[in-house]
Amino acid sequence: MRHRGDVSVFRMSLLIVLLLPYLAPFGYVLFTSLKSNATYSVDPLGLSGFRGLVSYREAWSATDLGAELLHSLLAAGVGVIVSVTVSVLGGYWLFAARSRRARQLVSAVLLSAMAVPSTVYVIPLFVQLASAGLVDNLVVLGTIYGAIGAPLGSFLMRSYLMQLPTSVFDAASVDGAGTTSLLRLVVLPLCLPVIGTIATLIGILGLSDLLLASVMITGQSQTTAVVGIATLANMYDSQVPEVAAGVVVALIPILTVFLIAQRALRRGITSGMER
Amino acid sequence: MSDVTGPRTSTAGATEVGAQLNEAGGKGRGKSSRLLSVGGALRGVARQRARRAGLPAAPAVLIVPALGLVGYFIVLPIATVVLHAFTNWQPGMSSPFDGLANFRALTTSEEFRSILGNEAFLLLGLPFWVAVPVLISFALYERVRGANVFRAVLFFPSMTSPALIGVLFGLLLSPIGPIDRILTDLHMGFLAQNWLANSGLVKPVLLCVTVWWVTGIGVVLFSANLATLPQNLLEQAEIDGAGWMRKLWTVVVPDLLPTLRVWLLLLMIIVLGNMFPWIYTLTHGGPGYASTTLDYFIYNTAINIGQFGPAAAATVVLLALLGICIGLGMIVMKLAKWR
Repeated sequence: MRHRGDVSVFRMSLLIVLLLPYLAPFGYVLFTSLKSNATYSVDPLGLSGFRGLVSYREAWSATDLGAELLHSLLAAGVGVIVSVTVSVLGGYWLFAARSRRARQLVSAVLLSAMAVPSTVYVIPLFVQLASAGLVDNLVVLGTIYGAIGAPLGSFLMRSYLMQLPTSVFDAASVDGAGTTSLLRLVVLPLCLPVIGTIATLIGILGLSDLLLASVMITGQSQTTAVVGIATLANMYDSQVPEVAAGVVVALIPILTVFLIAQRALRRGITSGMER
Repeated sequence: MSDVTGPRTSTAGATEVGAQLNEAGGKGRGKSSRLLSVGGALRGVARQRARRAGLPAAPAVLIVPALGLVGYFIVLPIATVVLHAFTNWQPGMSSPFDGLANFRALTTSEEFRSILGNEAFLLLGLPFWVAVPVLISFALYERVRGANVFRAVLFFPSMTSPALIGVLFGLLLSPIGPIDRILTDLHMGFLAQNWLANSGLVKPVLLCVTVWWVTGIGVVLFSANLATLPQNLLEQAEIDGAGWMRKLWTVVVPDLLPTLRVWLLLLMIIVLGNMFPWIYTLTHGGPGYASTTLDYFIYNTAINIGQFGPAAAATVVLLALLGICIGLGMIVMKLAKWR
């Protein structure tokens, strides 16, 4: 017993040591965003030379961060709507289609689309969309996120439907419900937790993306926040506090989604346990 | 023992998708991941045909949007790029067939050889990417207080943008940044240096940064898998006198094999195809070509230099490498399972 206690104390201290490299970078970026350029270059870790939110104001005006955040939210929002819609329908099909052959074939296509990194298709996709006049368009960018999320979303949806109790569907099919009303009255309400999961994953994907956003959006006027910060970091090499402030601001939407999603998931789980 | 291995095999047989479910479900951590992985284990049962028979047949129209989107935005461009790898691709103009000229140009290019070396280095780092999350999730397994908080702290960075994390680490690692400053203050100034401009150090540094980022996902995945591990298996091993290392090797690692397979697959996809945000924000492929990856090369060659043919050929190389690595990985994991 004593031995066990020693082990867990040892393990606890090990874990605390491990946490440090995870918390320190975020602490550092917050700390630095509040310092002035001059004091940063003299002493990056010194506890003096704070200047409030001046760096935030500078970052905000230097890259038009407010508009960029809106662009990010728009593209990610479109991505969420598209992927959720497509995944609910597609996931239900993967679950309830009669032909086993067709299900396997479609699954194989979706799985391989999921395994291919976006680097492979970003260049030809750009060429394809440019010739169709669809670049520099945040809705199109969001639709691309939706397409990338569609396979994963469909699979998540199918897996979720598979672990629901059979009785749910029995009752509905005895009532003679068609597919449309089944989807609307049974599948949709029951699948809200997994829909939340899909929405979160694709939302975070959209808010985090650099590659697609920088290739598909060529003009300055439609830049997303992540691209804006990456550009800022390259341009203003010496003004570290400003870049730090930009990173903090761009992290906020992702952190928000992360926190909200945790709660939504927990709610879905508890309601599932009650049943 | 044998009565536990029965149901376990159904989880072991779960596809990548099943584990994707665990990954996504793991966000709630603790209870949620446990519940969802139990769901995964029950899938064998849930596959009963009776269930589907009760439902009206789903019309094919439902899958059309998914296939349409994936077809237009993913499959069609892949076909385009593979075909154009064999042409002198000039978007908007005629692109004459060129045979293997693009590939020949790649094989003679100094840059491309350096890139393949860089990819090999990163792939050799894979054991590191695997070991860190496995060890952490095992350390968290046996009712450690605060395990959930710990997992959340690790998980958050891996859910944030690699590009933002890249910018952040760019600040940390810069010669005027805090790391070199701390080293100097601790009278270890001889260690302080321009981490990202040293061609010998840049790859290990990139490896550390990406491991830092990716570990959280791994811990969530492996923890979800471990949550389904019967507690008495480990207790039994302990009674039999197994130490920490022995428990890890004989109980935990065999149990984690299905997740390990998914994890390796994910890592290979990252190393070969998703290094772009790191390279873009941290090194731009430098110094020289010391940190250029295949995906950064493709982007740079097409978008900045405007040579679409060579970029397409490099894309085909990427696809081929990905196929080979995934195939080899599958074979290795299969052998490991049989042993």
